[in-house]
Amino acid sequence: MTTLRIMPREMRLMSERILSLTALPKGFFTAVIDHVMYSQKLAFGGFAMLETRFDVLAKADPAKIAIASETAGTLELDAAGEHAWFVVPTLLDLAGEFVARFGEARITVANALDPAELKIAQALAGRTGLALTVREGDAPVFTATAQPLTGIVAQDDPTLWALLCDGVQIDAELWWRTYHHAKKALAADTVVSRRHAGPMIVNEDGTVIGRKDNDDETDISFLAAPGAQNTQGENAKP
Amino acid sequence: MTATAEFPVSGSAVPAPRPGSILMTPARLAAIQPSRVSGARAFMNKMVRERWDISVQRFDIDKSAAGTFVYSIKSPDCEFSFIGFSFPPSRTARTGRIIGRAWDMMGTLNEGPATEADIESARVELPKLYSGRATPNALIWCRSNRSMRVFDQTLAALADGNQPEISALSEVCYLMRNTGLDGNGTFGTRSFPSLGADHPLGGVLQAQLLTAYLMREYSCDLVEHLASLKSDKAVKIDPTTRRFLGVGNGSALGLIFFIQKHPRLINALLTARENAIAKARALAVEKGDDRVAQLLELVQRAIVFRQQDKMVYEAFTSSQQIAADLQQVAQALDALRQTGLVNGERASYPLDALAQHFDDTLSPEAGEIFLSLLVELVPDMVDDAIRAIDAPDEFTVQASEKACDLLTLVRRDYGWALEADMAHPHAYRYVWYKSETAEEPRRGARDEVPDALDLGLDICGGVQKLAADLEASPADLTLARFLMKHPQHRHLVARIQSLRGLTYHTPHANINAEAFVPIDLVRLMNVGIHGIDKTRDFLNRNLRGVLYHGAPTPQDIRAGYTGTWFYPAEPATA
Repeated sequence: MTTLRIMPREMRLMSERILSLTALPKGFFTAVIDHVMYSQKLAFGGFAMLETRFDVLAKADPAKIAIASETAGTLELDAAGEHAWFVVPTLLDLAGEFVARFGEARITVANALDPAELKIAQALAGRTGLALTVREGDAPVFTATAQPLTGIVAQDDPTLWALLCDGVQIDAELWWRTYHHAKKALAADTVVSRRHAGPMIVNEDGTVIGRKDNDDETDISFLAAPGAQNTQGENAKP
Repeated sequence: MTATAEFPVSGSAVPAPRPGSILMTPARLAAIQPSRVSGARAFMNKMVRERWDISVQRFDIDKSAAGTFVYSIKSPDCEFSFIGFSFPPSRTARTGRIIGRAWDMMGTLNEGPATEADIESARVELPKLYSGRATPNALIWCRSNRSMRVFDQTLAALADGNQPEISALSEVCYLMRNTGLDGNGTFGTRSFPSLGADHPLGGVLQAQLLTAYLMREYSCDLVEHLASLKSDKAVKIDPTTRRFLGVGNGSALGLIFFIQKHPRLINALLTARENAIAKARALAVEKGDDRVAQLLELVQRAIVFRQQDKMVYEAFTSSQQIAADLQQVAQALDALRQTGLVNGERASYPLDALAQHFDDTLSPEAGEIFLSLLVELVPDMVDDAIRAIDAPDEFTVQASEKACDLLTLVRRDYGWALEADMAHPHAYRYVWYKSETAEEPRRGARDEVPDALDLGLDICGGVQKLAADLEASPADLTLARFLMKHPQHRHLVARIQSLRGLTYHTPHANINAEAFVPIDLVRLMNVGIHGIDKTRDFLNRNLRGVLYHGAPTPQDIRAGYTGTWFYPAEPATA
């Protein structure tokens, strides 16, 4: 198997684009794009799971996640069948609230899809000022306490630091499938859309709007006929 | 009679940084001018201070311009290599846009000396762009194109044993133009946050800025090399002319995505500049003060620079107007130097009084030039502030905070967003998206690209919806529970909380609106933050300008160049 070293910027970009193809609100999926990357780094489902679970993720409704029961410092969370990646934010929020109120939190999560993925919450907790431990199971139990932030990424969030330093090795075929899936979030290149950027606009009749002193010796025919010609990079795509 | 009794005293309040409500409007951000805080100037100052050593290791380029080159760059502690490939210029599919296919140079900036393996990997991978993979030691992938006419004129002149005509050079002020600097994990390049503050290129934008400088050097080396292959009587570019030739830069809509993605960085850079300006405005300068003389000299330099500017601007104030405005600045500074007075009055803070006066009387650009030059009076403060910048991209939710407290914060800091008329028919007229071809950032009328996903961040609309849901929630509801019910607000809540207490993080604008002028923010990035001069504007969305205009050569850097290099005057014609 050939693997590629993929860095956080690319993983974040691909996750964001793929999640943008779901029905999830932008203000939500933008906040959870790191979860796929953490899952990959921690050798859980990662990008393979993003691929295989996409149909489920596309129909997700994180507002269905609810508190089943609650006492001081202890809480049972009903994930309502939502995917673990989308339960993690609520889990961390409630842990943060309880730690602030009671000094510690004990949260059980039931009915999450792919519950093993909830463990990424452990890695993400540090950046929110929490130390999280987990007892695994179908309904895993999380215990949280305060972990003061230092402002140093390597200490607050060692997983992110490892990602920034070394990236992740990902199967090349999986990565390129992910890449092409993510490209669906980009817009088709049309004559009209080419007019939405650049220092000049080429009309359908070949006339030009804008100054021509842009100093790049633009090939007008190239701009006027998108789709027929791809970029160097597109030609070389695996 | 005492001087105090003879002249009224004005303005006793200690000068402070400008409020966000003034600075963060797009029109004001667009007026910000290059300064010591700007990337190119800050990085060049660092290279000169540390006497970096830049040298050509390999230049195997034939007379058609096809070949390979390698530069070595040595900081006091590290060595880097710039590996590039030169291509014969082609007019087919040539455009400065990212969707173009014709590049005259593609290169990679790597950590460590160049190895044959690095060179061969780059040769294979660079042309693939988004589907290529960088080696683990790569920091930046780049490409550039010639300014064909100016390059050819220069080549012909040098081959004939002559220097190029300054009048022709000054029409663009560069031989090649940057058309892409990609790093920080793109294509598998190293993530910049992992470099750390102690790394020679660990500062703000430094890897990109070193690469851009190397493009400038490469463009001059290439034209000299091709001239020498063409003729035995070829000469090299006169050093003064070589300094005058910066590297071109074309930028556009992608920079607005950058601003939205990096609010902490934008805040840090603007804060550094505003704090330095406030400190300089508070200097107790007096009659005969050397600092006023220094400032006057810089202003006079800026006047000449603007008078000689041949660029044509569509939307921006003409350089002739700015030069005329700066003449007023020079006169006022000369009066201050000779009399210690500002407009005939004694001021508690004379430079502040001048700045206030210019704010009311000059074009915004001229006023900002004055403020940028003021910063030169507090150089150590600026340099220290730049070194201290740390601006991570991650946001987190502070879940135990109450809904009422967040609502108070939103009302206090985002009044501009709450006041935006998002019900106006043109409030969402435009959509920000990227093309499937080369991921070109675009902005178009929504009805012209109905299937395009909006990749921009709707701050105004988002803040208004968030405020409405907060108002409808119990005041003591924690955000943990608020976000359970309203998961669509998660990103904005994290962003607002994470940016709490910062003043200059977000331009006060609805970027989707008909009334929004993209080039205002493109200009902020290019001019104020990158430090690009002579930025020609096109269609209110694109800029073409000159980076490192007047910058020291590698020989100058190695020798620890002293003096002012920015705002260069045209070289005297021989």
